[in-house]
Amino acid sequence: MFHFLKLIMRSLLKRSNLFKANSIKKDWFDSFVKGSLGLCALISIITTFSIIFILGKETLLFFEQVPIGDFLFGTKWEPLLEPQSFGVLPLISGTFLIVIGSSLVAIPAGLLTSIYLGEYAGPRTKAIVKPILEILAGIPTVVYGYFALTVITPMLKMIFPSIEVFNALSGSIVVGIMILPMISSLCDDAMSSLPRSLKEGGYAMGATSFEVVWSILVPTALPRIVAAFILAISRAIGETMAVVMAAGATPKMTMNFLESIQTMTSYIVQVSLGDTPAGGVEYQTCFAVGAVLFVMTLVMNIIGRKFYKRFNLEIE
Amino acid sequence: MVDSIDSNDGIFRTQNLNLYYGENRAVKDVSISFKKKEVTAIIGPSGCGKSTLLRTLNRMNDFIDIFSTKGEIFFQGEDIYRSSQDVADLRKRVGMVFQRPNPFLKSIYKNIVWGPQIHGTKKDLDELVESSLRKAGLWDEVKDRLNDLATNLSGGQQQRLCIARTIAMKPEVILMDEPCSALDPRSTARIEDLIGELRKDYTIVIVTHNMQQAARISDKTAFFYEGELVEFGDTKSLFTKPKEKRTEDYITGRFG
Repeated sequence: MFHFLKLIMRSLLKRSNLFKANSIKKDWFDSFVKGSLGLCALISIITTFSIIFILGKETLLFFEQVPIGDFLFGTKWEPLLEPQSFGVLPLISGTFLIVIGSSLVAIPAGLLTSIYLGEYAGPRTKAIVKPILEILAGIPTVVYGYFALTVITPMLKMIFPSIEVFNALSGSIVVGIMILPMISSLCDDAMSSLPRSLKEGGYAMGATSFEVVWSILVPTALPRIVAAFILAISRAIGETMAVVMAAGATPKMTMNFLESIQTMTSYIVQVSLGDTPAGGVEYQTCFAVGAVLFVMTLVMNIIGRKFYKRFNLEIE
Repeated sequence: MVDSIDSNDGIFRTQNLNLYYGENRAVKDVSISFKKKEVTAIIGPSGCGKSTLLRTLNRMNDFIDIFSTKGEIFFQGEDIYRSSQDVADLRKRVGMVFQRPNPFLKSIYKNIVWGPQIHGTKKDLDELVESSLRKAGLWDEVKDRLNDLATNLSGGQQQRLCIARTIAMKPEVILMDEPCSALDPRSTARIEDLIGELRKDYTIVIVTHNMQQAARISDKTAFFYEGELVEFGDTKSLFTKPKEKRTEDYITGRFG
């Protein structure tokens, strides 16, 4: 792929050399390149805006039929059964359960992994662990879901015999494993981007690695570390396939990790895969839930970016 | 070639010291001794091994995987590369000031007490902060804002804070690695004055690429060239009557 691109680039460069003789032709070529590159950028912008437009339009249509208060504060989510009820809170609580659970797994493990790799591991260990983390990040999420169902849940069943086949705990653990590489690599970036002299200053005062890490590196990089957490959490909110497979599809207001729950994303999958007729209120629920999801992820990403920027201001 | 110095008198003494980065020998067969309560300047062109030597004295080169030593370095008569050496204790007794000021992203106060605290000092921290800042000539400028972030100070102030932070550890030796290279002339002058004050209480080894600076502030000067110690002696005589041709060429600006 890369080689192919290089070939194209080379032929483009050659052609531009040919055009050098004639400046009008060269101008034409330049503006052609500029225009086509701009077009590529435009595609992503158009896509984003059409998604927001469709999401907004269908959501508004939904709220014409269901009062917004019932949707946001209702505690019962049964849009596909008669009598219908459209309280989104069970889906939000299901999502939060997965977010909390996976954060409890991934945040400590991810941060500690990055510290281990940055300050303790020798070059040989690093050469083994880093690619493994990258592989972990590249596994398709559906495989993670399968892994949860066939490995994690049976193991949990040995500890908690009363656990349901689909349960939030298994989903949390698997999502936690999924976002771990993201947290560890972003935290690693955060700490290795600190000036080397800062670390040396600590060591030169006779500090141990532990003191340098916890009293200098982590506090200094904290805004960016928090940003890493937030970005990872926003990924956990949006995670779909693994959660559907591990945590099931029972919209329920519960804080019990051993029960089956449903997240916003898994609801959308359920509706998309089912034979819900287009245009009905059941169909529009999908967009309303999607809009909530979109707003939540967007807010998390904005907060994450803010933290990231604050960090850069302080270090420069 | 090298001035005859009573080798037992030095607080730091190296014996046929060779320093390597992998196969590359950066410091060649150096025997030198740094005396108590003297300022020794190490000069020489870039890549002559002066910083490498300095960073070996508090074992900061331990962090470089391919770094290795041959020969001996004695601090207060003990080989610092012996296996029983407590490196943290060595670095507590041999402080270091770096090229670029590197205060921690903490308050001025916490920057000073951080070192002593990790080594177990709990009492009289306020007095320690004041006396260290006074010695570093920074007290009057910052006494009303000790809780401000140290990183908001000017570059010169930050460097004096780093010196204060080092003094607070009550070290026996202070190593300085081109401490003025990132500072403007006025801040440089202040740091030089400060070194003049500190020489009463501390042994100082300073690496500098600035020959005038070496001439102004040091008692002894060592000239390194391509990893070799070319000449070492009283600063005055080294700069006025160098014994070696290469030293003369360097200090008169013919190369380097």
